[in-house]
Amino acid sequence: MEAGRLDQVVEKEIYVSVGPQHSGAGHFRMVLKLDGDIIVDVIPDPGFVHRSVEKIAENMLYVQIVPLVEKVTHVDASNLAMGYVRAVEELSGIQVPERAKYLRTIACELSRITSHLYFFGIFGIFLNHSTMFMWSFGDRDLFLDLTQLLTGTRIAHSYILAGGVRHDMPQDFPDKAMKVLDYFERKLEDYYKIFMLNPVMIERTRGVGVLSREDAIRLGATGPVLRASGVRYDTRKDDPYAAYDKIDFEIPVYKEGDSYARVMVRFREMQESVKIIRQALRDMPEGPVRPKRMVPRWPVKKGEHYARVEAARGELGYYIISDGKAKPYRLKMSSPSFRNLLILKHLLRGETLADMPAIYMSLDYWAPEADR
Amino acid sequence: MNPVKAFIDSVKSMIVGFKYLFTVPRMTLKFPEQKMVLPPGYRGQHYLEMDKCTGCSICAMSCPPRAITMVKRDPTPRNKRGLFPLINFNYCIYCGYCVLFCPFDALHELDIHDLAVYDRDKLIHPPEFLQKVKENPEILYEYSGMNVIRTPRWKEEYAEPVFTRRGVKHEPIRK
Amino acid sequence: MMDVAGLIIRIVKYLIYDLTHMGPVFKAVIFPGLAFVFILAIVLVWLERKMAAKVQMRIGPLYAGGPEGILQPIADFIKFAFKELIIPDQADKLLFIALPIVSLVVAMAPIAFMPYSRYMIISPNPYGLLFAMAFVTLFPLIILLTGWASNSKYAFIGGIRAAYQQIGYELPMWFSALGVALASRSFDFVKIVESQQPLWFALTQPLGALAFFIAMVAEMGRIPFDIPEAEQEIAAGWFVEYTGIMFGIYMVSAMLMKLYVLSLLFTVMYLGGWLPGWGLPEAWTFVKAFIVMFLIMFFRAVFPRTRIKTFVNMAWDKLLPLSIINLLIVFALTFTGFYGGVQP
Repeated sequence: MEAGRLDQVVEKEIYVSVGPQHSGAGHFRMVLKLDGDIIVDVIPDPGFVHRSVEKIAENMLYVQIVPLVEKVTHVDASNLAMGYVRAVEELSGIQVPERAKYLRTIACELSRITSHLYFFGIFGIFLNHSTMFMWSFGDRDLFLDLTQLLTGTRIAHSYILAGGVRHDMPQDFPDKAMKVLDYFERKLEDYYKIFMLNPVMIERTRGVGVLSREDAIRLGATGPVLRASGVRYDTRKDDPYAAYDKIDFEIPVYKEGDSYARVMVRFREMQESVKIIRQALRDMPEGPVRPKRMVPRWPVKKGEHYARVEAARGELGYYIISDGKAKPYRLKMSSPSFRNLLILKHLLRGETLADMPAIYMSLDYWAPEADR
Repeated sequence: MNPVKAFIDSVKSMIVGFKYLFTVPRMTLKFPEQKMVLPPGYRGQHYLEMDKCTGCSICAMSCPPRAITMVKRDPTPRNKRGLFPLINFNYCIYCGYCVLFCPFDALHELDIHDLAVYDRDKLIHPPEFLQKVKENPEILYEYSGMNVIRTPRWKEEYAEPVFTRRGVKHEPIRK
Repeated sequence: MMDVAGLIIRIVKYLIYDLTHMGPVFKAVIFPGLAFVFILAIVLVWLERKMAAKVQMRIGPLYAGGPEGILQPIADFIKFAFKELIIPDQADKLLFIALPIVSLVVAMAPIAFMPYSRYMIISPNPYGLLFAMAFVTLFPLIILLTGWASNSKYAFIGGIRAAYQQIGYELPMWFSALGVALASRSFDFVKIVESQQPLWFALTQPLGALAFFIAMVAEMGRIPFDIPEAEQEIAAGWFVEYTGIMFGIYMVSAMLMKLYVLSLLFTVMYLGGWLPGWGLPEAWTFVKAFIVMFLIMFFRAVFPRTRIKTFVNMAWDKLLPLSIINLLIVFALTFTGFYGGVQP
C-alpha cells in the first residue's frame, strides 16, 4: 500500500514540528522528538523574527532607539523603554523630576498588567479555555485605553524619555484609572473562580513542568518563572528604579515551581500592580515632569553602563557603550525571554505532548524579544 | 485530587459562567458603526502649519524610521530656504517625535487613524496636503480613494465611552 | 405507458397520504428525520456561538442575516462548499474521500431508532438501544481511520488519541446503558421510557447517569474532552488535512450530529423521554434534549481541555467503578420489584 507506509509507523521516535505556523506556538519553532507520547528531546529553533535591533541601534540617535526597543515587546512597551532610558540616564547623570518618576511607575505597571493579561489570554487559549482568552483581551483593552489617555497611544508609547516623561497626565486620568482599577479588582475574583479554581485547569498545570529552585538558579531563569520556583528576586525591590523604592508592595513567591505556580505568580503580580498604581496616584507630588525644552540630542557622556529593570517577563538588561557621539557605539539587550528559552528545553524533556502547551506558554515566551 | 472538591469547584466555575450569561455587559465595539472617542493628545495623522515652519529639519532628523523628507517649495519670509517636511505614512510609526521636538510648533497631530489605501503612493503626503488636512479631514479619504468605502452604509455613531459615570463600560449594571 | 403514469399517480397519492398522516416517509424526511435535524443543527451552531459570546462579553454572529445573525451557520457552510478541495499527495485517496460521507451516515444512523414519543419513531425496533449504541461506538473507528488515511503525523496522533479515549469511556458507557436495560427489562426505547413512569432513571440510577453523561461528553469530543482534535498540541488533530466541503461534513457529523444523537439518547435513557406525557409528548422530549445539549455546549465556555492521560485514568478509576456499582444496585433492586410493573 502506497499511502500510509508502514515504515513511518514502525519508527520508534517521530519528530513533530511545532511552529511557526502551528497554532501551538508563536513566531517560534520547536521540533519535538516523541517516543509514543513522551517528549524525548526538544530542538528549539528561534530566530524567525530577528530584527537586528542591536545593530540598527548603532545607526540611530539615542532618542530614536526608544521606539525601536519598544517594538521588540510591544505588549510591554513602557518597561522596555524604561530599561533603556535608565541605562542612558545613569550613564550620563541626567536628573529626573520627582513627579516624572511616579508617572514612569504608573506607565510601567500599566504595561505590566497589559502584558500579564495578554499572557492570561494566550495561556487560556492554549488550554482551550476560550472564555479566559476573551475576558483577558477585553479587559486588556481597558488598560490600553488608560495607556492611551496617559501616553497618547495604545501600544508603543515612547512615553519615557531621558530627563522625564513626554507629558504630564491629563486632569481626568486619576479618576478614570480608579474606575478601571476598581472594576479590575472585582473582575480578578471571577478570573480566579473560572480559571484558577477550575479543576480541569488545575489538573493540567499542577505538577507539570516542575522547575526546582536549584535548576532555576543554575539555568538562569528570570522574572515570574524564577519567583514561581521559590526565589525572592525582583529588580524593583533589589535595585529600585523610578519610584519603586517609595512604594509599598509585595513580591509574590511560590515554592512549587510548576506551571500553576507560574500562572499564580502572574495573577498575584497583577493584584500588586493595581496596588502600586493606586499608591503612585495617591502619593504623586506636584511639579514639572520634564525639562522645559525637549531636544532630540541627548547629552550622553562617554563611557559604558549596564542597567536593568523588571519587565513583565523578567529581568531585562541594557548594556550601552558610548563614545560621546550622537549615536551609541554598541547597545546590547539582555532579554528575559531568551534566558527562559533554555529552561524550555529542560522542562519539556520527559513530559507528554499534551503538557507541551501548558509548559511552553507558562514561560510567557515572547519570540521577538528573544530574537531581537 | 479529591473528586468531591473537584466537582464543587467545577460547579463554582459554571456558576460564574451562568452569571455572565444573564448579566451581559458587552465589551465589543462595532467598529464601522460605532467609533471610539479618542482622548486629546492621541497620536494620529499629522498636520502642518506651513506659515510657522522654518525648515530647520529637526523633525526629519529626529524621525526614527526616517519617514520625513524635507522638500523644496516656494520660500517664505520665515522659511528662507523653502524646505518643508513631506511625510511618508508607509513608514511612520506615530511616535510623535516630530511634533514633540518641533521648536516652532508647526507640526501637530489629529485623532485620525484609519488611513487604509489601495495605492501605497497615496500615503506619501506632501506639505501642502498636510496643511489642508486640519480644516478638512475628508480630503484624506478623497485623496486615498477610500471615500467610496466611507459612504455611510451604516449610520455612524460615537460609541458609549468606556469610562462612564457608574464605572467602566464592561461592568454589569447593578440594580 | 399508462402503467407508469398510474404508478406515479399512486406514488404521489401515497406520499400525500403519508405526509398528511405522519407515515414513515414523513418521519424519515421531516419530523424526527432529516429536515428537522438540519434545521436544529443550524440553530445549535448559532446558539452555541451566541451563548459563548454572551459568557465572554462579546456579541457573536450578527451580520450574516436574520435576527441576531441566525443565518451564520448557512453562510459558513456556503463558504466551506466553495473552498478548494485539497487531497494530500501522501493520503490514501479512496479512504480520504469516502470517510467524511461514511462518518455522516454513521453519526446520523442512530436517529432512526430514537423515539420522540410512543409513535414518533422512524424505525421501531425491539433492540433499538443496542443498535443506537453500536453506531455510536463506531465513530471513534472512523476517527482512527481518518488519521490513518490522512497520512499526517498530527492526524495520526489525533486518531490514536481517539482510540485511547474510547478505551477509557466505552466500558462505563455500556455498563451504564446495561443498567438501564436491566431496569426496564428491554432494549426497546419505548419500553425504556415507559418503565421510568413514576421516577426517571436519572433519579433512581444517579451513579449510572453521571458515568454515562461524562462518557457521553467524551464520546462527543466536546470540551473538556476534545482530546483528539487538540488544536494547540496537534494542530486540528484527526481532520487537520481536510478542507472545504469535506471539512464541513466532518464538522456537521462529528460536532453536531453526535451532540444531538447522544443528548437525545441521554434524554430517553435517563430523563424519561416524553414523560409525563400529557400535552404534546414530542415537545417534552425535545425540551429535555435541548436542555442537555445546552448544558454540554455551555461547558465550552467554562472548561479547558483535559489530558488524555488524566481522562483515561479517570475513566478506569472512577467511571468504571461507578457504572459497575450502579449495575449491581440495579441488579439488586430488580429483585425487590423496585422498578415496578416488570417482575423478574
